[in-house]
Amino acid sequence: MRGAIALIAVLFVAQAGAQITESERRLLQGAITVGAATESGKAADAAALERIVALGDPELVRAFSRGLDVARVEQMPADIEAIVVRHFDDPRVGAALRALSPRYRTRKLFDLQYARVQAAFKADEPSFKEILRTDQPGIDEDLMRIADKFPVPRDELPPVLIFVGTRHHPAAIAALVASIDQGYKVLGRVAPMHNRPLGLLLEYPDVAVWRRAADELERLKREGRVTDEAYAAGKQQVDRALADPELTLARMRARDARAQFEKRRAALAVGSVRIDAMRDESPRMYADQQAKYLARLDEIAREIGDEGVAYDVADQYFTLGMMVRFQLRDAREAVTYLEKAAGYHHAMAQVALADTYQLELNDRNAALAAYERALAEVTTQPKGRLFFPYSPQGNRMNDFWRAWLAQEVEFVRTGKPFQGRIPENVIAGFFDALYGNAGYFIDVFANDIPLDMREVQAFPGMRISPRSRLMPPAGDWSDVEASLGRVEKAGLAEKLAKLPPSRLYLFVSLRPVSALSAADILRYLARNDPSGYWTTCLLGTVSYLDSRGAERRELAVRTGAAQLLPGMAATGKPNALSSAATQFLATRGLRVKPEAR
Amino acid sequence: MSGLKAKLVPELRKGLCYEAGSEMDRYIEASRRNPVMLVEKWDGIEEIRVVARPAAAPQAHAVAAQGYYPPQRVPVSGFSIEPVKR
Repeated sequence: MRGAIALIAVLFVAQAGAQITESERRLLQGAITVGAATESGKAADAAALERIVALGDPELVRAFSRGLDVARVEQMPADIEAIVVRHFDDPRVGAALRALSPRYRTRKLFDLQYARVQAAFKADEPSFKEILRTDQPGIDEDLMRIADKFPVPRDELPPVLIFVGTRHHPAAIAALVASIDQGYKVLGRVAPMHNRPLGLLLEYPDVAVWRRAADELERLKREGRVTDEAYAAGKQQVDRALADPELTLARMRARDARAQFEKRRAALAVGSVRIDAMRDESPRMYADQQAKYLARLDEIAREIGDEGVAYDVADQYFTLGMMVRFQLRDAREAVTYLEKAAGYHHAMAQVALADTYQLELNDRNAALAAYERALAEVTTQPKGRLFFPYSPQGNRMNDFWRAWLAQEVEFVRTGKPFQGRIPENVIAGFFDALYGNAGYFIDVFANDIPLDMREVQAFPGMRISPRSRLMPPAGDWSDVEASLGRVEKAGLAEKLAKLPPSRLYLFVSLRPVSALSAADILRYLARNDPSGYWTTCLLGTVSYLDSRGAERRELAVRTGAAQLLPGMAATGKPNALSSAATQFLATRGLRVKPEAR
Repeated sequence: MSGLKAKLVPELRKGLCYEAGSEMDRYIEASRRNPVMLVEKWDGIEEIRVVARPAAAPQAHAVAAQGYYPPQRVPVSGFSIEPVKR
């Protein structure tokens, strides 16, 4: 049927620039339904639009426009825009064509809209809005010349000023500076920091513009035209921009790059949803498809050339690498993805890469290089970089990564287990790192490690990730005892011993491990943390808490140590975990030293 | 309809769902993987931690990412570790 309709349509259009008779018009009108027009819009079918225009039915044009909108055709295709230009003033369909949903792109259409705006005498003339639906350059000064014609909502800036200001065009600067005063007059409706003209000026990628805004703010202050509160808010905004202009510009570039990336990623997203559905049922196929998807995403990121965007892609490469290593058990292939993510500065990927080389592939040289790269990353913070792979320097977590990676480099180089000092801030940072990064590992290790899960009701067929099913954190000692009680110990040590060795397991495995015998605890930690640095932090903490007498339980709960190591609540004097701590520290010749307060 | 069936994924908060692969989905995924995030605000860069709040009462149908990060955790502190003989 559809084919027949199309054939009829083609025949009619094919007939000579086509004066169609009234009877033919009626026939065609019956042939093109609103639904068909919408479908044509989704396909951005210019020939179909031409036929619709020939019918002269604005409702069909509007249906075509809805189709364009549904299909997310954001920029007007050239052949469609040509139709709009040709029939711009058509008394029947001109208005509907002028209102087509995509943003137009030609100067010709701008000029046509411009003429309508100049001639307009009613505030509801659609061209006031339609003319601004474009991203083409070279129109800002012309628009500023007719800015006063546009209707302005109460307490708002003129729409043209917002349009030109948002495009960071110099033509709007003077008017925006002059409007800062007006921006503060709408206070009461908005907080002082939402002064629109000031905000727009500070978005210009130009320090001179920020200074002009700052000067105007000072003038308003001097002349008593701005409240103390509004001045303070404005001053904070301009000071922040001017404190480090290079950093401010870097933030702007990063934001623009991200917006560009998100737009291009959205186009790939539909396919990625389908890939996602394979993850559980066919992990091998999922990994292959995901790798292809990430290669396309990576290409986009490389074209954009922004480190923050690349870091986002790195995160997905890391997730794929972890899945391939631990679910598909293919460490060699995993390395290719982890290398990619590590190269984009992804902290956990760098650690996971080094871990794979060190503990699973037994490649000492590659492990050393990977740990050295991680150490270099943790100790440098390039100026202008807006993300902090190992937490900002001076932060406890950064202290931990820095101290441990230095020791791990030493261990890989010499094979000598750790027997040195660990300062208080580094121990604190170790626990911050365990908690702060556990989210990376819960799902991927859910099949290997018995996690503390609860029953969750949900809609039938709904996949609920292990992360979403974790028991709430221990709030008191009885919760810790209950958590320990839920550990299924039978065959646990043997099951854990069959897993590939990896320090990464420690992010989620300490709870069941702490329920094992002292010998099994030490065996497990020695296998997965051969240098013993993490083990020293863990068992040193157990030993310290054991020394705190009546405070022990409360401290263990409040610090989260008992949540990680519920074996602290085991029976026995000392219990297995405490015995393991004592034995480990004695073997390494280490002791816990209370710090004076 | 385009023929693509949207897959609904349980959200952290009760009663709210979002489409797989959507911006919200990616944000939630990212925040679950890395609970420490840096947020750029007008008054500086702020480090935030995405922490699932424990339910005040059992929520039978909530699919919350509870657990793991104890709320109001205080840092492990008060000691260092050193060799017995220096």
